[in-house]
Amino acid sequence: MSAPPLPAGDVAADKAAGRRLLGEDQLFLLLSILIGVLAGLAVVCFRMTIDSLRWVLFGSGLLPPRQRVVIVPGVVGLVVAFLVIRFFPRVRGSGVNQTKSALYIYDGYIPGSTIIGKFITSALAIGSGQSLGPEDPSLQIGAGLASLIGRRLKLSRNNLRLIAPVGAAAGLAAAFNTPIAAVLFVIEEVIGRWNAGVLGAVVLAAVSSVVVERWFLGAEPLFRAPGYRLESPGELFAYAILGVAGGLAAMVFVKSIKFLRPRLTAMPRWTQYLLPGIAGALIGVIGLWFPQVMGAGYDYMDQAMHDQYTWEVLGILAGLKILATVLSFSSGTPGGLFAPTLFIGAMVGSAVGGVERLMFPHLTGPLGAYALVGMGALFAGILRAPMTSVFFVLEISGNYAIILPVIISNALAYLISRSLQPTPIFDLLSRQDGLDLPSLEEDRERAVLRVEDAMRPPTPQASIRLDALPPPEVIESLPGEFFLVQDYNGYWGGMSKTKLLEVASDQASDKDARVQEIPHLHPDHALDVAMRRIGEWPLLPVVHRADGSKLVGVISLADILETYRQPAQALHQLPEPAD
Amino acid sequence: MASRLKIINRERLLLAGLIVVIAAFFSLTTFLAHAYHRKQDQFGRIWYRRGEQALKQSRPADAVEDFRNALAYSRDNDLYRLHLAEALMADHRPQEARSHLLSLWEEEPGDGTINLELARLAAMWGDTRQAVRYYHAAIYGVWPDEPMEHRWQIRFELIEYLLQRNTVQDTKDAQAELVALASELPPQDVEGQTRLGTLFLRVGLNARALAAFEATLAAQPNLMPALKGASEAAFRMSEYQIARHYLLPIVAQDPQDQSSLEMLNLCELVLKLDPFARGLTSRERALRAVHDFQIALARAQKCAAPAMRPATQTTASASDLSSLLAQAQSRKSRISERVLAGDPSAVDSTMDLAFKLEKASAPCAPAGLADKALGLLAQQAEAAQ
Repeated sequence: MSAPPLPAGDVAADKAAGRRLLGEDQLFLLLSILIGVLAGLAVVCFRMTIDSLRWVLFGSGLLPPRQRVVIVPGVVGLVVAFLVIRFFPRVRGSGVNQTKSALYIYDGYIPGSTIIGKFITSALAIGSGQSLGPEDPSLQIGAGLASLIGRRLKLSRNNLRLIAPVGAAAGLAAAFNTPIAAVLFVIEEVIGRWNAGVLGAVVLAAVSSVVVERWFLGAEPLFRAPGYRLESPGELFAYAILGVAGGLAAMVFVKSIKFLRPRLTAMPRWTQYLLPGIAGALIGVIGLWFPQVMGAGYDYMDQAMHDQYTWEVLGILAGLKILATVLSFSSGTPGGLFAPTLFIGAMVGSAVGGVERLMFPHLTGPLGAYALVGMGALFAGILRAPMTSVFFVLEISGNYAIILPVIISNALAYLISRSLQPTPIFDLLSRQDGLDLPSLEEDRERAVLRVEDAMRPPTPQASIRLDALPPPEVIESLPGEFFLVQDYNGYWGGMSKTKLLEVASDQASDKDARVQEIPHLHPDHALDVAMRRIGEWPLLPVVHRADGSKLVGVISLADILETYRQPAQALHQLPEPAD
Repeated sequence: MASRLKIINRERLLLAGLIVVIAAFFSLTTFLAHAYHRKQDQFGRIWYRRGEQALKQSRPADAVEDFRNALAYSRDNDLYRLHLAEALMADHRPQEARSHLLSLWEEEPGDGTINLELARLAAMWGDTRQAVRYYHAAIYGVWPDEPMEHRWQIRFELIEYLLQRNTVQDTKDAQAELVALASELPPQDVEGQTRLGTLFLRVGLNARALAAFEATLAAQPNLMPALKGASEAAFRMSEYQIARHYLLPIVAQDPQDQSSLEMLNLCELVLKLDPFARGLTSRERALRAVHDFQIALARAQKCAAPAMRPATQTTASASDLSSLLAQAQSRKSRISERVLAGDPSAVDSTMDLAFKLEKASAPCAPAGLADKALGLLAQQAEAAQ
């Protein structure tokens, strides 16, 4: 992907010259609201288009006519492949990664054609029964609109980079009707950092898009699950089992994509025209017996929450959905993984709940709660966004009482998935696409180096007290040209050897004034802080947080660099090959 | 200056342009959303009607699919979900129905219909605590039309459910519910009062049963079930005069009703044999006591005959009967109209002996109508003591 050259810093320069109508920050926040509204409108239209296509292609019943089940996904798959290859080659793959690419590689640039292409091809694919969801495309449509507006308004390079994730949050929030989860997801998985400006913009965009979505499509949560109550503390054990099952299912799903996608992508170019059609036809064949696996499947998730299937059927549906989604996604059909993730989670969760009910009928709560917790577990296991997964379940259920099982189950699913499949799916996909995007999970996991890792114990020669100065001849004999000196108030400052000798031989009372103020550090400070503070100082004091007069160590630039060098060898591992 | 104005104008222009685009997009989306929702509503209604049709035609499985389709177009439509739950129950899939009902309950915990359906499910699963909880929620819940009628009917249903469980506690609870219902039910509700009376009879609250039946009869004097109920209640209360009063029109209306006829005869005989009835002269009282004694003695003598002794009769009961007979024979000469008329306490002791003879004869000799009447008088005397 190539981006046009950007007028870097136009706005910032204009602001500096006092020539702007609004400051860059105010403009950014105002734009966030407008982008939220626009993204919300786009997502509403996108969802209506998907539903309308489904009505046209399959009729109004949940169970499609059998003759259309095989033909429609196959034929529409061929059309989608043609459109993708000929007109919209950038719409393939994950919208999350494409937004991250815009942020980290292309200075916030997402072409306008991607928005149109993603809208059309994803709507066709999902509406025709491909096992994919509308949330990821919604996220990308939001990001694309934001990028388009940012470019038109000639935002600074930095804000142009950030505007795409703001639009992504708006798109995701509108797609799920979950503003908090969308904000968290974008912070957790796309931007990877918290600061007031970014958070404010993301929140404003998410909220305004959700307001628009609710205006048009209603304020009801995504699912209407029966109320949850913990029947007994022992039931938490079942939720722990659900977490384990969720982690294993997530591992199977990610490994299947890891295996199949690069193989299909590597096939000759002409086959790429056929792959979505073949995937669609295969899903259609599955749909003859299990039509539930076709499309996003929200209606069937609702049914699973309401006890409509036996645990055996739920288990089969979970397995078939994994298969169908891997086929759809690996074939290059545009569409997202969020909805299939939730579908698999709902089925696995309900199946575990069903088995538990069979074994301990009096200890089992409503199956809908298991389905919800299962969704959270798979969200944590596949998408590797543990915080988002917890808030997501709370938002879609509107029930805070479910928090305990969700935390237990999500944490276990996350840990199991991470240990069995170390590379998160978004990182895996970006590596398969040849992009080296930052892995935010790996960043989170990376050990932070602290001052205590680099500091040395204070030596008596380097730490001198003003009220107990050694004689000048002793000072003369000390090694080094710079000393840490504690003044009469107990604060640590710095002094060159020459100055110290002058002070030692002088009987004047203004000795304090001659101690130079220097930055100090605490042992828990990140080494990055030390790097920033040390500047030209040969040595900095590391003092106790509760007692500033207590010197616990000293640190020099050489100590810092040496420490950075050591873990770099340990941490700099090659990424897992993406096949 | 010109350059500054140009930049401000450009920015204003772009923002204004963006707002115009959003406004246009908003208008377009509004138009499309209206069309979309119209279509959704249309599909929803079509499937809902099909579901109702299927349910009417006793095709609950088809109805389930139809209501599910309807619900897909309006996930927050409580009516569709409620009908889906009802179709699932009709299709014998209570677990699935319960799940939908619980969802509805979460939204509308005070809805009468939802609580009633949940109560029926809990009752079906034998979860009395939950069933009573939901029944009460349904009784005090919201009913859009005819709320009082619904509440009475549900209380009736709850009472029937509790009585059907047939435990002491449940019967007590049923009695409490009946009393509550009696205070709510209007006297002119003929059907309700009759049903109430019948249930009072079932739990043994005869006076309340009689009051309920009498309320019915005040509105419809010849209503057969109420007449029967009132006579039964009065008979159980040993109010034979009242029982007779209600039995007479029954027998008149339906002379073939053997049980009512027998009860009427019994009532009349009791009234005829009762020496303790009010308003009798000493002579009449004595005459009745003598007559009663003779009836009891005749039965006891018959019972004491060796041919009549049942194999199951124990030695103890046989010796009781013999000693009573001996006592009766010894007092026989003193039990006369003249003696008893002059000594009211002798009437009591004579009747006491007659009742004992009847009781001792019960295992061997079949009771005639007069014996039954004496038995009832004995019960009455026992209760009075």
